[in-house]
Amino acid sequence: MIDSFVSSWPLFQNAYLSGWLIGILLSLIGVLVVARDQIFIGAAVSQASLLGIALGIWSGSRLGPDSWWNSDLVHSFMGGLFAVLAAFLTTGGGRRASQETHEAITGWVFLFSVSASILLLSHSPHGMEEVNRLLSSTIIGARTEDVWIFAGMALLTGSVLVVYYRSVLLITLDPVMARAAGLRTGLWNGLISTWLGLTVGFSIHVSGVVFAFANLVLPALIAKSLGRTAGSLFILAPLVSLGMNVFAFIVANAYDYPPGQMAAACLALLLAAAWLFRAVRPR
Amino acid sequence: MAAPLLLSLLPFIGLGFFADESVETLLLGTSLVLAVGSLCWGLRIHHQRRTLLLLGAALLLIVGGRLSSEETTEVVGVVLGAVLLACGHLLNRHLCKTCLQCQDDPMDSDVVLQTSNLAVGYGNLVVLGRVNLTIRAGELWFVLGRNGSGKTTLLQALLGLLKPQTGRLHRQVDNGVGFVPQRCDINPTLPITIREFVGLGLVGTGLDRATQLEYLDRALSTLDLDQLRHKNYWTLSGGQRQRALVARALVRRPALLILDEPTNNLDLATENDFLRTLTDIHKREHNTSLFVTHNLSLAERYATHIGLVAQGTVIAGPKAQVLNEANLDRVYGRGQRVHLHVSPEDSSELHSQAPE
Repeated sequence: MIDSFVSSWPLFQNAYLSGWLIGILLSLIGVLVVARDQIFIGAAVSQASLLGIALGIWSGSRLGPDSWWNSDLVHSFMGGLFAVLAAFLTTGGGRRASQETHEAITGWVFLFSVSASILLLSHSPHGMEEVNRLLSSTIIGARTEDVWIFAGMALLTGSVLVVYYRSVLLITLDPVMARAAGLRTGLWNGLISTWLGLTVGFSIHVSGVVFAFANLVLPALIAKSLGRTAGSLFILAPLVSLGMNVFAFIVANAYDYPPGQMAAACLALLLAAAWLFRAVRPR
Repeated sequence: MAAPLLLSLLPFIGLGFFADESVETLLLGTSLVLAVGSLCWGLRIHHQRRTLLLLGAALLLIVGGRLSSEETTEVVGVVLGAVLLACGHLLNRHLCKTCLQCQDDPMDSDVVLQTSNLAVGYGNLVVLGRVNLTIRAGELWFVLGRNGSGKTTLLQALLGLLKPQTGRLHRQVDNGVGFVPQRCDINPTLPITIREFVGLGLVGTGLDRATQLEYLDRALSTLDLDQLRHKNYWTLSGGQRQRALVARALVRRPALLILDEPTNNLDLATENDFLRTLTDIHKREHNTSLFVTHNLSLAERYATHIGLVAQGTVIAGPKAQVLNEANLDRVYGRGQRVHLHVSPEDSSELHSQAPE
């Protein structure tokens, strides 16, 4: 099994490395999402990112095949932008404007995004192919640039969390106390929402919806079940993500399964085991 | 700030749809104006520097327009520059009260918090007006009022969660404000130890690690949480959790401690223990505290100063001046009979009764 994986390395190294780095990056951000108990925001943001990419493809097809608008960079940017907008809508802005709960806003963003992205591209064969690729999660098309981009994003995220660990945790858990302590909560929340949107948006363009959403929430939930301190979640979650993604890619390669879905399934099974462990562990 | 900053990207995105150069400049200019404006607003940049920044952005547009060979682009650049300056001027006038440097009027050194003709509310609704409070170091304030009278609104304003509609609010608090909410709203499934929880109160103090540890140890021992430091916050009793909330607020040694009905969810015995601990801390450390509560007898027993929230304003001052039957009638109405007994030490004893 390992030999087969090693022999596939020259061909798929960018896909493997991108997948692992996306896992580390999203699991770090996911700790904040899980700490706020806003898990389905991750799903809504993922779908909104897909809508952004679909809008990029649709507008590119109207501008003509030679337009610079048809580049991967623009599609990633559109995905990121829509994910950022969704993150803002679901984490505060939308709730204030509509006076609804964040669950209601999250549901609206999810349903509008998933339906609109398919409607936009339903008459475009190439576009639907791309949407299906993103929905079915494939990381095979990752490029060397993607590896560097996600390595940079993961490094930046980790560094900010090391330096501003307490500030980020306080703002995530108790914004009123954070404001009383003199922190600019609006600015911090804006930055966190923007970063959540950008990381999810860029990740989805490379790895697809299932893999990105699974790595956003499942490692953090596993870490929450196993960890005894809030600080340990920021170490456990990326370790769990990396370990399970390495394992899943090896198994997927050996038995010819799609790696994204294999990783999501392995993380989901591990979460069930972690819940069982927590139930029997002495407090 | 982030929302307007994001909105400023939208015109930029529109560039992809237009081939006309003048429209591109217009969109680019709008993006630039919005981005600079949002940054200035969000970062609370001093209004004079904000004007300079906006002027810089306007000049950039004009120079950008000149560098282009298209005459129309140049005109668009100049017009945009003028519009930008006009918007900047209006923005500055509106936002000046949020500018940190503009609030640096001198106050007495022992004044911790001062409001002058403060009006606060939501949108166009004014909940409290003409609020004049001066809280000095070492005072123990109790804020009382009926449900819906505006106690929470006042508290939000004092914490900096609500911007003043008119008037001024000065806070001379180097270490920020320590805040004890009614209850802790953090995710109850999140594992967090007492030590971590209390340590969150050190955010933004800028202390070195050794001093932070010293402050943390002192706060834990003051609130008798030493033995529980490695316990999960959610495994503690209600009284212990409330003590942890106070420790989190006190750990940074704030100039002002604000407590929002901290004994609401406690039984009578735990409430007494909790209040004894707080008054002991106040006697020992002479910190400045502000309690928001419904409980008149607590206020009578412990307060040095009282703020009565009623009829859209706050009647504030030393306990002996404020706590009289006329003022209590204003707060609770004449249907609520209030008896006030003044003891020889000028320590009044108060009993309130339901209408007969």
